[in-house]
Amino acid sequence: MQRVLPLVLLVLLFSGCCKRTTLILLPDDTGTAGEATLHTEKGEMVVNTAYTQTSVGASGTLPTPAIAIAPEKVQKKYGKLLAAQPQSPESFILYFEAGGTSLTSESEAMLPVVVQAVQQDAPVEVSIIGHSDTQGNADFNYALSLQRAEIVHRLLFDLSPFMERVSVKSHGEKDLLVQTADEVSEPRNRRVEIMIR
Amino acid sequence: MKRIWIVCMLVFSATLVNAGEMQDQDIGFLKSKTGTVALIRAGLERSVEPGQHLFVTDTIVTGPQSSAGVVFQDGTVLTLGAVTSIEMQKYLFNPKEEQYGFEFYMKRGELIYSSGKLGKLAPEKINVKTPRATVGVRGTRFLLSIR
Repeated sequence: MQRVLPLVLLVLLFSGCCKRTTLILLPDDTGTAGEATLHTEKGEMVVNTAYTQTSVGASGTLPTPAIAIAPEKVQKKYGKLLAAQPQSPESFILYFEAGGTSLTSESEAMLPVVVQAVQQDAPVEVSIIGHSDTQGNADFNYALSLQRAEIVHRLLFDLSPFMERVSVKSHGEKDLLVQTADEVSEPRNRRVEIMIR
Repeated sequence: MKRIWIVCMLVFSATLVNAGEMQDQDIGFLKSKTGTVALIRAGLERSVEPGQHLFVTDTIVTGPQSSAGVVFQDGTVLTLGAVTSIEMQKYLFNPKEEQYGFEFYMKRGELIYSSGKLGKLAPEKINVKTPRATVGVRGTRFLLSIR
């Protein structure tokens, strides 16, 4: 028994009590990096440059200061994980003629491209999301955005009746493409977004 | 007295139904996988294939030399590496009512988080928990490893 005890302690030591939690900030699809924070009971550390890392070992300690890690090193250490990333969700944005529910001719020409993308990327989920600008009250904008999304759904359904897992939603004026104050007419915010995930 | 019991039972079953509705909400799906990927739902574990819908409170576990790509309704993507376990704890994406939430517990392994609309609309509602630390995020991609 006396011999077993040190062994047990050794096993405990290497099996979880001393795991390291490491946070590495990566650039997104557009090449820009945001910000992430590692918190423990003792404090927090922010990483806000691509390819910097912070980590924490034993419980309750302060995270290590942020230091750079070479992209090649990340690739070498986490290559399999990086390669396993699925394709990022893709959004198509369709615009409407002012005041109405008919698509601009450019946007109408996009519909077959959307159908093709849905078929190519299976399995997928598709959201058709109506958006408005901030002019008018929120309830009206919600209803109008939903109406536009339903029209796009019908047009897509006409092209491809077998499209599954499609949901039709409205975000009204709560999810602007171009940030504006309230009561601002902005054509780029009057849109229907087709998100293929 | 009997009547009180019946009322109690009704209230109790109503809460059960409510809880059930919350848990059955579709929050995303398994987009891709390699090796073995298991889903634990209501205490039952089974292996799953791409296309599988996910609910709040599901736990996803990958085997050795395995990986899983999970895509959520707002476009957030989680890539799980080998021997990784995450338990979804909260998912709310309701821009109409401005209700947002994204929380999960990562017990072990490695993953890549890639932000979707939630990261843009409500970064303060995103919370990744691990045994030693929590991670907060502002619209980005990061790698998290517990090894």
